[in-house]
Amino acid sequence: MSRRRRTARVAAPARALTGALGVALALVGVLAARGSAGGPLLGALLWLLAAVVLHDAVVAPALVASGRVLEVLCAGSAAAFRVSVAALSVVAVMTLVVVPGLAVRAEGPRNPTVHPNDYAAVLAVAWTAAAVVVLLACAAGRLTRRRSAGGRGERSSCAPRSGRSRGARGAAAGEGPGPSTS
Amino acid sequence: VSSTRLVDRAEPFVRSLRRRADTPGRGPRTTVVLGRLLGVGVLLCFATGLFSHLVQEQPAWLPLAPRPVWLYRVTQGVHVGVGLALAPLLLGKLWSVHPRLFAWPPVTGVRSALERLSVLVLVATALLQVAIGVMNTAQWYAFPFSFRPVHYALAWVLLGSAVLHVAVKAPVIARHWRAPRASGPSVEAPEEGVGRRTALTAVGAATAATVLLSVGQSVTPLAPLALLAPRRPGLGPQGLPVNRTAREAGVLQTARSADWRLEVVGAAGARLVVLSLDDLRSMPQTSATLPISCVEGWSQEADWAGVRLRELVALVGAAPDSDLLVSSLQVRGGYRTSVVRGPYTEDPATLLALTLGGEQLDLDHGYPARVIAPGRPGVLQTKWVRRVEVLG
Repeated sequence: MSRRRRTARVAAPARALTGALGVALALVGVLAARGSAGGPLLGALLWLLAAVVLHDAVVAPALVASGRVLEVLCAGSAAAFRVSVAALSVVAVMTLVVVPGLAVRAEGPRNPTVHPNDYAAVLAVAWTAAAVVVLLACAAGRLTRRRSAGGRGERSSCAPRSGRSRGARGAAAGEGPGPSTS
Repeated sequence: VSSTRLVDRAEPFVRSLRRRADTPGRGPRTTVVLGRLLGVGVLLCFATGLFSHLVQEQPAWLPLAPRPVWLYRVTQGVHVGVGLALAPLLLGKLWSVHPRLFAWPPVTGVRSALERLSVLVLVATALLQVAIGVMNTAQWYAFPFSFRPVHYALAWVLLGSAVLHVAVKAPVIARHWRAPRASGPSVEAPEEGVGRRTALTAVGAATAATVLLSVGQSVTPLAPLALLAPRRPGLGPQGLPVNRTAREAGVLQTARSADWRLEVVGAAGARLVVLSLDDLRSMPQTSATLPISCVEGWSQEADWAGVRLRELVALVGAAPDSDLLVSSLQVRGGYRTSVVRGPYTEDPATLLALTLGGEQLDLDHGYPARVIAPGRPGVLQTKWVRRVEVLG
């Protein structure tokens, strides 16, 4: 019997057991939720649905769109693109995390020791810093590409300038092929 | 016929959405890398959250110990810190699998329908659990349900659906557990979009920044960096933050009244001792350096002094390891009473505190007397105490 088959024979029951354990754990949660009153449970279910809709309809498309904008801005520079994506990710997550704090500060915190930080000012500085980082990275990326294109002569003048076709970028960055999840 | 037309029209649209969403970083290796971190984070949050739940509920069957004094501070700090880190990790992982949302046909049979349903439960639970967790630490109760029971129930559902997801995806996880061997550029390598390294760098940077700018509310040396945290150590009356003020609790008059007395009641009301503040001050005073550790994640160590609880209950002939019910003057809000289990009563650092940092307690910190015990959540450190009753 091959090693792969033996592994598969052992793995199948283990997977089934793990799956059953997962269902059992989730049922504990369902039973715990049933212990709560009916109204809050319905509210929680609506919020669960809203969380998915908000992510799939707003957050995910916004991420795709931001990526496309940065691709154009960075014009094929892998390093600039990576720095820009990281900078925007940092401030985007910072913003998401302080939304509740901003809301509480707008309503008025319960006492002066709650939310002492001026999140709006923190975010303003963070977004400005991120914008500067993106612009500097993109400018440096474009400059580097132009210099290297100039150095390679006529052949290189045909190199892709847009971020939408940047084979050189992927190779330079060592990006893995990342097979499709389908 | 019309439904067939609808499907015919939907298919190219969905396929185009998938094409637009596809990018090289959105591969199973990225998903597995982020999934591993997410799995560790979910496990840590579940374990520390369950611990906090049990410490607050104090079921009789569970042997809880007050030592080490820093235990609850650490577990709850980890719970909130890791919970915040889950936000970028979760968004990153969902980003990595987003094109799968547009798989066509969406369902190929009962098995795939069940798989999609389990993923829906997992995603919805994870998103809501992180969202309401962050909202609760900020005290933004915009949701139409009570936080504690829902967060507790969702924790089990999230853990269960994550375990089920691991079972369903085990072959993919095993295949991509290790990094692919570098074997030169692949002919199939897509040439555009966000790559794996870019995606992981972005998620790593966002996670590091979120944690670094928040964790100072419980890790005091990092307090100056706590720009995103709802609390700042050292800020508040007597240098300590406050959750419920005397005004909120409705004790402005009663706590300052010259008529205030502490009732110490023996088991089944057998004996009653009534003490004034001066009586308490004339008893042996004990000092202890203990943290206030809030369920919302912030914590700070402080110097307390007062009467040991075990010496107080000895006045009514109770054993030093008696279970106690402590009642507050508080007329509004939860946690007006708390149970102190025997091991906590017996601990020499468990005090009915009268001073903080060498000064009389501030009204917002529980003047004239409050409970402070090692290893207990802040909500159980009852303020404005009026009665201590021996149970059983």
